[in-house]
Amino acid sequence: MRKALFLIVSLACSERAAAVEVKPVIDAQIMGGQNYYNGAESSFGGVMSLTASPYTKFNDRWSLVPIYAGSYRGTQQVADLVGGGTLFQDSQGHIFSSKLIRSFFNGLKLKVWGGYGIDLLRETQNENWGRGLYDSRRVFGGAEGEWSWASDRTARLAYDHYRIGFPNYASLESSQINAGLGRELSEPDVLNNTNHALTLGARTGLPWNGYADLSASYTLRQYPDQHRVIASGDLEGETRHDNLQSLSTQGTWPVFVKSHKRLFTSAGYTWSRLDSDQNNYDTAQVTLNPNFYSYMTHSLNHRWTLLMGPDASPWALNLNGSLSRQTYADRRTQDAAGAYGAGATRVDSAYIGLGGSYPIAKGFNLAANAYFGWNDSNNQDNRVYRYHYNTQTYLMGFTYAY
Amino acid sequence: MNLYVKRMGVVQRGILRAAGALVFLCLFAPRIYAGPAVVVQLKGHAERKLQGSNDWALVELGERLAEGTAVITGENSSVDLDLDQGHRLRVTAEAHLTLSSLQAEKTKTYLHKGNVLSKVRPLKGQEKFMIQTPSAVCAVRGTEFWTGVSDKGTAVQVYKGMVGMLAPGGASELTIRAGESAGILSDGSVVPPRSAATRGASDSPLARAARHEVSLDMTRQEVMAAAAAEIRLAEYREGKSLIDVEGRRVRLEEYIMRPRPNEFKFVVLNERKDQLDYFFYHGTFNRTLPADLSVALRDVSGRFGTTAPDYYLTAYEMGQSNTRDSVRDTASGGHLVKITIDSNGDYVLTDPTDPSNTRTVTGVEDNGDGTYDVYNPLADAFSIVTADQLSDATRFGVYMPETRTFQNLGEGDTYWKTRFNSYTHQINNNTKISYAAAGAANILAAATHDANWTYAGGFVLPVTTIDPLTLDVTITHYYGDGTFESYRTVLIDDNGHVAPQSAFAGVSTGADYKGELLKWNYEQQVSATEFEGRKIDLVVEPRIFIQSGLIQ
Repeated sequence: MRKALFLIVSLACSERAAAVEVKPVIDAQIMGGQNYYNGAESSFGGVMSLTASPYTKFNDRWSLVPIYAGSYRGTQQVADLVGGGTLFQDSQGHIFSSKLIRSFFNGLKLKVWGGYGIDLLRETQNENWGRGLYDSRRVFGGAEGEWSWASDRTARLAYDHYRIGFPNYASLESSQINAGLGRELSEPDVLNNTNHALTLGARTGLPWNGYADLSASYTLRQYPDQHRVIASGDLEGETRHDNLQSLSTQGTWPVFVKSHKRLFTSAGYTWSRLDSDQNNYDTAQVTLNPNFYSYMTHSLNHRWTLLMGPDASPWALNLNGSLSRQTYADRRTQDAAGAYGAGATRVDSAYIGLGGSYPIAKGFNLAANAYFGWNDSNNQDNRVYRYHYNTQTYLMGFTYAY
Repeated sequence: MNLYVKRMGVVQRGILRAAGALVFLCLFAPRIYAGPAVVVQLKGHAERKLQGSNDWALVELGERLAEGTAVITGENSSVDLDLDQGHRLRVTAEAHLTLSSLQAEKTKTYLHKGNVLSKVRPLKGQEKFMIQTPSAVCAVRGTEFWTGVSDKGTAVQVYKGMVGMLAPGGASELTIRAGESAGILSDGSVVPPRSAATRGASDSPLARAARHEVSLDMTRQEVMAAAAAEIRLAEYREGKSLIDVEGRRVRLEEYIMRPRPNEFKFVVLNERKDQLDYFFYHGTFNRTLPADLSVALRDVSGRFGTTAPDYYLTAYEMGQSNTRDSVRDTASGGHLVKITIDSNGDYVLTDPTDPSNTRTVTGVEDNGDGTYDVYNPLADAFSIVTADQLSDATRFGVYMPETRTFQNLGEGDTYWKTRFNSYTHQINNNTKISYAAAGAANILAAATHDANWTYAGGFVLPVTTIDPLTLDVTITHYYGDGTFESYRTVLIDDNGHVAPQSAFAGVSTGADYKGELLKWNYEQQVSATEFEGRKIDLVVEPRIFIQSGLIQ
């Protein structure tokens, strides 16, 4: 009966209509829990998010996808940057975007989009909403061609342009030039950057009824206010440029699919490399670190998902984990006192997540998640950033999908 | 007919029999009846109607349903049928199914409405298993799958093996693999196969398209958010943002400036909410500085060994300020002094530019009351210690830049140190302490009679307060004019937590102390009478203070 309901609902929704069709997409969650950092617990916090889109299909050729995505996070999460000495983390983000799609009968889609997003962070006790040092704003736009020539074969090529600004962050040095305490070329908005990104993505079938998602991307990131540091410690006229490349592949397979029981697994690998021409002058060590930000990252992920019950409302268990290693090409290791060694700095992280959800009403699920993370490095200098830590997060709450 | 046969000859009868057998074989041999379907499980209410009959009767457990029988099921009911070929059909609630063909090589059912779960054992040779619906024909090759029919069309979900799905009159067959579902709508349009792994709560093509587009956009947003987070992480790792002892965020910037060819300036800026503090150290050297400043700074706090350093300070200015209040130290007349330690543990000080300008300073002098005067040749200062403290108080660690370690001075060692002929210490431009050379010669030890000292109000009384549990030390100078200045110094980690005393257990002075000191951040809060309750609050890497000679 439940399966019949799913199938009939599915088919009813599939009926083609000549009039404008609107398909709302809603994903929401509200969860509460706690974070532990090196065994020390934080206060109880909440996580809320909402993604809503009235996907509008005007006809077989034109569609519009307006999206609002908002989130609030009142507790640190395992994947967060908890090594930076943040007392607590309280953040919210809001994104407004719109995408216009032109569909062709041969499976080709052309898309253009634009939008605006803000991230507000309260990382310490003396920050108010909108005053966070690392609050960021981004303006973005882009275009994409997507071609689907079979049910499980898709390729797409996208160009993205986005600007990230940090409105509350200005270099302290630039404000002290007149006091004789700042270098002449220092400018205020050193973190603001402009990005041009090209992404090539594809999905294709795999043996054993699986499918693969593949993507390759290249991003040119420019920091127009951030002048390069040279060997004397001074700044030069040239500004910083970063080149970011990444390759990602993800395969998903059904392990077994039976009536009311389905088990899926997926595995993925991502390689990314950042080449930056910015150097760093360590005043304490009186040393220039060339190409300070350049790194290469390898990461592996694996996931198991068990669905039990009817398709429309199964309960689910999932287990996932990831391993990653980030190696800085020219950043040397440091000992506990900050003195440089000979090897390149690397940062290793491991992450395990265990989650479950139980349907309680149409679209509503009771959900619980636990995350465990470890971070390690061959850099022993923990004075300003904690490279070695473990953390756990436990969350429980409700999710809704429509 | 019979008569006609009787009249035929043997040959004719033989030919007729052979032809009849051939026709029989052609017409009936492929349609070998495999046997009826057996009801092996019955739940709720179900009825059946035999082929050619108009009457419906209740289905009974164990009943054998012949080819052509139709079955209908009621609400919350189901019927399981076992076929001779080894296949099993589950007809679920409110369904209508006809067993069209139950032949050995062809099993075909017609599903008018509802759902049926088919478990098909591997098919042999030409054997076929088909489910026809009003809108599709599903052909099977050894599989387990659901088929659902409504007035909207036919949907199939495959759990094992493969199913081919064809619309009536359709040109091409849909192949649906295990883990996939697909459908053919009543108007003939196709819902293509897709993996159950990617299914959302809603599963119509429109919903899928909507979720696909939203998913792509959210992935794009994650990339952009990750870029902002990465920039933030880089700031953390560079130590540009940390937490002070009072739990406030401190932004920290440190850099070097080159005002003139023979000058450098260390600048440290600290910003907290509504407060900017800075520290600078402006050094003037005896000669033009190299591009690699570390070559010159390597020996700025002193040099161990018999070879004099190439670079030394001739003047410096050090300032701390919160932009309103200030502490300012200035010194000029910088020159090298050669310090050697003789066999008595005393220090022989010599001006290398004027070897006649020399003096010996006693290392430890017994005051006769259980205390001792100890001379610190690095800080150029005397201190009074007890007998218990004497051992630690006479070990002076000097920085060895080649090995980045500290080493205690010992008998026979030579050390080079810069001394200044004049010095001034000011609070808000009020001079608190100063000295000047007592004669024409360069000062060898300002702590001795080489220099004439002045203090605000005529004297200064230092008082030290030490927290018993943490490394939290306050030194207050009380001046003769009734004013004071106070320096609270704490060692903190990246979260603003103060280092425990145990971190320095057994390393109270000397080289070990300084080595441990470098593992912590150094926060100094300065208050003074002139500040009227305000303070200067600086977080600085201790190495800067050590290299600039401010920590001896």
